[in-house]
Amino acid sequence: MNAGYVVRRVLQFLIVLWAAATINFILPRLAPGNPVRDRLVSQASQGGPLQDGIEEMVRSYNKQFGLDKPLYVQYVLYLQHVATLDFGYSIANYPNRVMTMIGRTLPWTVGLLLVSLVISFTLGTLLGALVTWSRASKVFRVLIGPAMALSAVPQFLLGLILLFLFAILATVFPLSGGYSIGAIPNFSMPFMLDMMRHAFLPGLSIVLTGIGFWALGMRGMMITTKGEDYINFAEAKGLRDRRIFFSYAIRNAILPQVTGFAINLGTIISGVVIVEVIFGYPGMGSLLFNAISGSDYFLIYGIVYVTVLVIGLATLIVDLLYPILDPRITYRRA
Amino acid sequence: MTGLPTDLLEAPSIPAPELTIFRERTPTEAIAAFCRRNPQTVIGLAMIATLLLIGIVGPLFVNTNDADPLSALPAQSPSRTYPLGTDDQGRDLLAAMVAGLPDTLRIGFLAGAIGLGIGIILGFLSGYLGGPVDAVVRIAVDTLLTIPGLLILITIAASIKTFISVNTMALVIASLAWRQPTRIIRAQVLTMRERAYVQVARRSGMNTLEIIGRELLPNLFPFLAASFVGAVFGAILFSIGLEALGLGPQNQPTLGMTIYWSLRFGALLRGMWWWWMPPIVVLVVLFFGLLLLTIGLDEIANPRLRRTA
Amino acid sequence: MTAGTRPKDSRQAETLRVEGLRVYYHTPRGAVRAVDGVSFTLKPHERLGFVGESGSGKTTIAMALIRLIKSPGKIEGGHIYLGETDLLSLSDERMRQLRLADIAMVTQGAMNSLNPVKRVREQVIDALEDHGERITRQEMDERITELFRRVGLKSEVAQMFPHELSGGMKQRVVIAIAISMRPKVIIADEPTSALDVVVQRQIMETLREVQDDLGASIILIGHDMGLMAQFVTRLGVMYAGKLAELGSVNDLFDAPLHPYTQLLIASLPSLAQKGGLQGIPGVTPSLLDKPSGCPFRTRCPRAFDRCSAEEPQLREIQPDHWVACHLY
Repeated sequence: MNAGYVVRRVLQFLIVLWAAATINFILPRLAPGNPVRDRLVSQASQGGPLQDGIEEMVRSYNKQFGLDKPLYVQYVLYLQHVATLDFGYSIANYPNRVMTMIGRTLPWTVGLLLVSLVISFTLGTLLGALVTWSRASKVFRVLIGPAMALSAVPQFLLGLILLFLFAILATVFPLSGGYSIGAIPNFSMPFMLDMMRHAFLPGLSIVLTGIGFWALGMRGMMITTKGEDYINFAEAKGLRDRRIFFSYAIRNAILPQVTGFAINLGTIISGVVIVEVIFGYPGMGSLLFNAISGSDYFLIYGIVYVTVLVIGLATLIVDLLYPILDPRITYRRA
Repeated sequence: MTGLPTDLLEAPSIPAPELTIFRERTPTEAIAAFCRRNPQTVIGLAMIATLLLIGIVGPLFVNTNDADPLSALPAQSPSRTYPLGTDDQGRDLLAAMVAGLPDTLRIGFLAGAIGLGIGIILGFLSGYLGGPVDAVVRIAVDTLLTIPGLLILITIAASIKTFISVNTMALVIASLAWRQPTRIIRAQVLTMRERAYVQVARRSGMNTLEIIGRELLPNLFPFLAASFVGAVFGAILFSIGLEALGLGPQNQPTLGMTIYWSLRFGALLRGMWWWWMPPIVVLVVLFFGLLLLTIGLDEIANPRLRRTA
Repeated sequence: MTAGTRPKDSRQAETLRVEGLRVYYHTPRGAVRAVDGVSFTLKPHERLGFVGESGSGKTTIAMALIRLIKSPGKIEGGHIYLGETDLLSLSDERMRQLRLADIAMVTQGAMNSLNPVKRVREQVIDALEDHGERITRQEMDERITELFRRVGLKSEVAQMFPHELSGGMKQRVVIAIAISMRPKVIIADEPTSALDVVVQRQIMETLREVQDDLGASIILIGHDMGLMAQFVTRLGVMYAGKLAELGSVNDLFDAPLHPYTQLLIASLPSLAQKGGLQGIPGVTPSLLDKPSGCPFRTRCPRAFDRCSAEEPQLREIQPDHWVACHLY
């Protein structure tokens, strides 16, 4: 792997971050009026014990982003804050800072995502590959139909159905939350089990919808790969079928599949946001939902930005690991 | 060469035999063969057509004004007068479905069409002209594709929450719907640009617009169709996502908003399945139909994926 | 007589004996008869070539010999005797074991015949492993070095990835793999089409040396008559899925019997005579809907009534010179 490739990819990552931040900056200001300011003012006018704090916040907001400052100064200040991940205070949850709230919920989302993605990607890719292989059992061809059908449905819709079936009709799984009410998060076994019980249905909706998607992609790649000359020669060499399947076919077909993984990561994570809302799972998704309901703009921007950051980072890591999979990459312009 | 009689090199004197000309299929046979080979497109189209029909014909049978709140007693389970029951605000849910379905479809088709339109323009210009134009477009699309669309849309929608109508939603979604079509079309144009028939057209003096219009576009048609369906699929997906978070038209009973309201009012826990289930069913049918159509069109565009007889 | 073997008394000195091989491709519009009744023998140490236009069936024969015909193609009938065994009667697993060990193939398009993500040495080793060879890593490396030396490759090549090699080098790797288990038969399907003339010659030289070393027989498939003439000892001319003529190279070039062969040879440019390039008028017939009688009659300058009525059989007109033509 040469340095040029790494530099280029990291640069791309930074550009994406910058673009996301800029979009976050421009969009609210395009709306008629200044919704952020209005929100702050309306919060301030409600009175109550946090009154002083809110007024302080309004003042500091005006100082930093006040309308009297020219736009580009506002922009530069904004970028500075974004670079340090300082999104200020949460309007609706004052005096909590945005980053503190995000920090509390991020691990839950990452945990759910990591496990679900790994399972759905592995199972889906294998299924897609097996479906195309003439020597493999025909049962997979039957399985892929329902899998693909499920992949058409947005994750949260499937989540709703699963919730209804397994938490309401049959009370196998809990209705919502990340853990039972009253339980104190720790690393003990009972808590872990409780957590898994709560994460099961959300995870299942992600996995079931994901399998069909990955299977469809892999199926296409495998069909293309199967027609390649090196598969033909591998057979002419008298290689065992299993070896051809894994070391020759999958090993090559998985390359575009991994690229597809990186590209679709963003969409999948966006979907998970809504899934969390459905299940009341204490991750970034639920936090975002509450933020939207409460018009807590700072929190919204913070969450969106951090999500873009995480996705960008994950994509970057996948891209940097890619040359390990494909030895040709170092010699080509990425 | 050695001792070769020259009379061998004259044209043969025996007339060529009649070649069997394969009988052209009648239109019915062609359609039947197509259905057998590519059932996905047909079934997908059928599903979507049915939904469209419900949307168009429905209002003739159901009074869509009953979709407004306070049209009926709230929280009724399904009965003969109200086949899909009513919600907490007194909406006749069957009317809401009939009124909301066209709205959801409209958002999808509008956003998809705008997205495709922009995609065609940018994709062709970028792919065909190359150079700096291509570089700019490519970087823009790649960057924007990495940023998850839903999140941007959430930011936008959250900022204009009170102003969202069906058409505004379509526009908001369209602002991102052009990314994938541009990418796909650009890639195709790049491949086609170097093909022989384009070189020939160029040499025979056609200008850029002519070449795009008369040579490239017709050959791209399957891809355009597939891109359009994909764009509509994505747009509806986005719209449902936004609506589930409450970021849709506040006063229209689009399918997503109905689900949102039902969850807000705890319909799940209260067993009011008639509130949230029908929209889900319709959405599932819609998504299945679009997915099948996408797969079917993919097979037409890329014959290698076709099943052999 | 057990199934899958042939009577012991018939010509033991043959390495390979093909009888009435038929391979059809089943399309929605009917069966394309890619190979329609081909018979020939291959003797030990022999170099047998097959020439023909595209679509004449020569590559299909190669694939059929190692039983790699894929759907919608199917071997419809005939026998392929490798020694005593009819390859067409073997189980899939047994056939897999025979591939490379007894009958090896050097494929067309070596540009892409090697797995892009695995190093060259792994691709030599995995074949040996799957054929049951259990030897230590050191022995393996020694063996590879020796193999590569035979085909004119340095041992460093083993550590490389395919994309780091030139076309000629890749083809040599393919040849090295093909001979790694000392097969009795090597089938080379257009091994040099994608290479430039200089490398072509080198590769053919390598093939010849390798064959001498092993004492194997080679079947060479191609469309370049000139190349054929320089390399093979016996030549078969394919047309529309059938053998038109089969005989020693000298016989064929000195006194070609079949009109098609005569036209083919006439079309070769010669340094001795100057003149326009001669082609063969007409087009190959559809293999889907073959004309009755002799498939070549539509383009044959010497066709007569019998040619459209009756299909000519391949018969030995002179010692080891076979023709399928009613003129004889």
